[in-house]
Amino acid sequence: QDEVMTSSGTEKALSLLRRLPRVSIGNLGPNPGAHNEKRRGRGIYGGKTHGAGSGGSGQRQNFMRVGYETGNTPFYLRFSYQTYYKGHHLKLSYTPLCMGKLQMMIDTNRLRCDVPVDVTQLMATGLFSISPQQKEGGFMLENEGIDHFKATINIEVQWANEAVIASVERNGGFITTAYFDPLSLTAAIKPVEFFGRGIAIPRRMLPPQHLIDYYSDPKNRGYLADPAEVARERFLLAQKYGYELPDVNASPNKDILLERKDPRQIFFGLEPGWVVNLKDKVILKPTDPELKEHFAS
Amino acid sequence: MLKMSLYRVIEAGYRRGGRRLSTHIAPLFQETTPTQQETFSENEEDIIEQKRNKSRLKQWHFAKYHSQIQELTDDEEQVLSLRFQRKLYGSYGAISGISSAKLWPSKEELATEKERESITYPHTVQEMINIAKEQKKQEEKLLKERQEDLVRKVAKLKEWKMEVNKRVAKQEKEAQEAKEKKERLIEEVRSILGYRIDPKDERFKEALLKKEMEDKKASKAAKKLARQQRLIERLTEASAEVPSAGRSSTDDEPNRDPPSNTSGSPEV
Repeated sequence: QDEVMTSSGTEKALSLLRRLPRVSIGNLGPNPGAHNEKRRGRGIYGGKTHGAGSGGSGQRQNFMRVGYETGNTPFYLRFSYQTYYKGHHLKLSYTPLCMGKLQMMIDTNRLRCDVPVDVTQLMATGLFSISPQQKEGGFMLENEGIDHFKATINIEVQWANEAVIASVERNGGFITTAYFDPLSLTAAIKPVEFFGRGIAIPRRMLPPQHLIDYYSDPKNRGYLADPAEVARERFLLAQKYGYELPDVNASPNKDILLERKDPRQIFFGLEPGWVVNLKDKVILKPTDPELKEHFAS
Repeated sequence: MLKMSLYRVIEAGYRRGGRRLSTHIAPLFQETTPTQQETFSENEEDIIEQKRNKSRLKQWHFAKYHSQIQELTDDEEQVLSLRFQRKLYGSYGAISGISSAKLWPSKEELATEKERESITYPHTVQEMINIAKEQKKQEEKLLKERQEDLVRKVAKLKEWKMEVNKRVAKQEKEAQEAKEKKERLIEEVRSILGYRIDPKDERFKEALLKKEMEDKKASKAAKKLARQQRLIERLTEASAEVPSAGRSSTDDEPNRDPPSNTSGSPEV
């Protein structure tokens, strides 16, 4: 007899396979339970109320209004006001720029150091987006990376704290905080678009009353502060933080470092009232005395 | 190319439901400069140049692509906004033919701008700085005043606490005394009547009333006695001071019978 171990089941299966026609889609059927033959309920009892229960207001879909808490004052009516955003439309927000990122941009040549750095230059890197319409004021420098900040730059931002100012000045650089009103900021961040409008460069407007304090304080290196007081504060800050203040007159970039904008000026080297055309590469200046007076005020 | 004479100006409009002025599709004015395609130039070069253009682009698409611009006609200059004309200059430069005088604010625009500024920025820088300083000073002043006020009040705090405690103690004491007095009265009335009785009962109330009357009389008598005693004291003091002969002892007796009425009682 056979000594090969074959079960009769296997033998049967194999013999079936030999005899029966080829397996194809037409011969196959699903395993029992593979297909869920769910049929939508139709009819009075086969329909089974479709989740509404039997009888009563549930089945009549008689729902109370959303939020109703069966009589007590509902949560959505309990608080007549909430002050989370009170006055938010009167406040500006600033794009944070860490000192570490600034150093990185300078090191990778993304940001030029051989010209004074302001909003226009920072936006020209293409790494930031500012929308003045959304009440954004510009850039604010953050503390992250002040310890290893090594660049000597002349930078103009919209907000800076003491530590940041110290880290910039320690390396012989200069920092100024300046306010740009929304229209001026729109011009400053996208100068090419602005010049395409064919209008005269406007005057930069003053800060609102609640910000004048900040921008006229020499401690913040405000652009409205007295330069003599700013120099004094520079000296005092060096003493406070314990670094030797480098002499600017000895540096080769003296002109660049000492360049400052007029409070009414938006672009370095361009005065209000001038019309710049990038197609013809010309600058047109007004001759009418009334216009001159207006743009010089 | 000669510019044709001025005709009636039609207002700037829109065509085919678009949102932009369709100056290139439908002229806004009754006269237009002839398009490039329409020119019948005498010059052979121009004709050849026209034939060279095989782009099959529409005239305006060709112009846009090659940054070409036709100078605006007088009508167009009048109708199209300053803003639009400035933008043309900004995009195309001097070849747009826009007069550079239009780039600066017109007299009306300047007046409006000045008015807006005078309302939005009424103060100069110095004024604003001074206002800020004043505000700060005011805040500090208020704060300082409040702090001083608090210091003064804290100094008196101990005294006030004592006063409050005294008042409370006094009130409590009074309440306690009243309660005790009431209890005593009740007990006394009960002892008088001899049996336990409800305070609200009628008989109790009568007894209470009687007791109160008696109490009053007793207190009155006591007061009178006290007054008499004081009088005696005063007189003895006066007599002690005056060393002259003493008075009759009869004067010192207040409880003397009143003199009889000798006028006679009326006869019935």
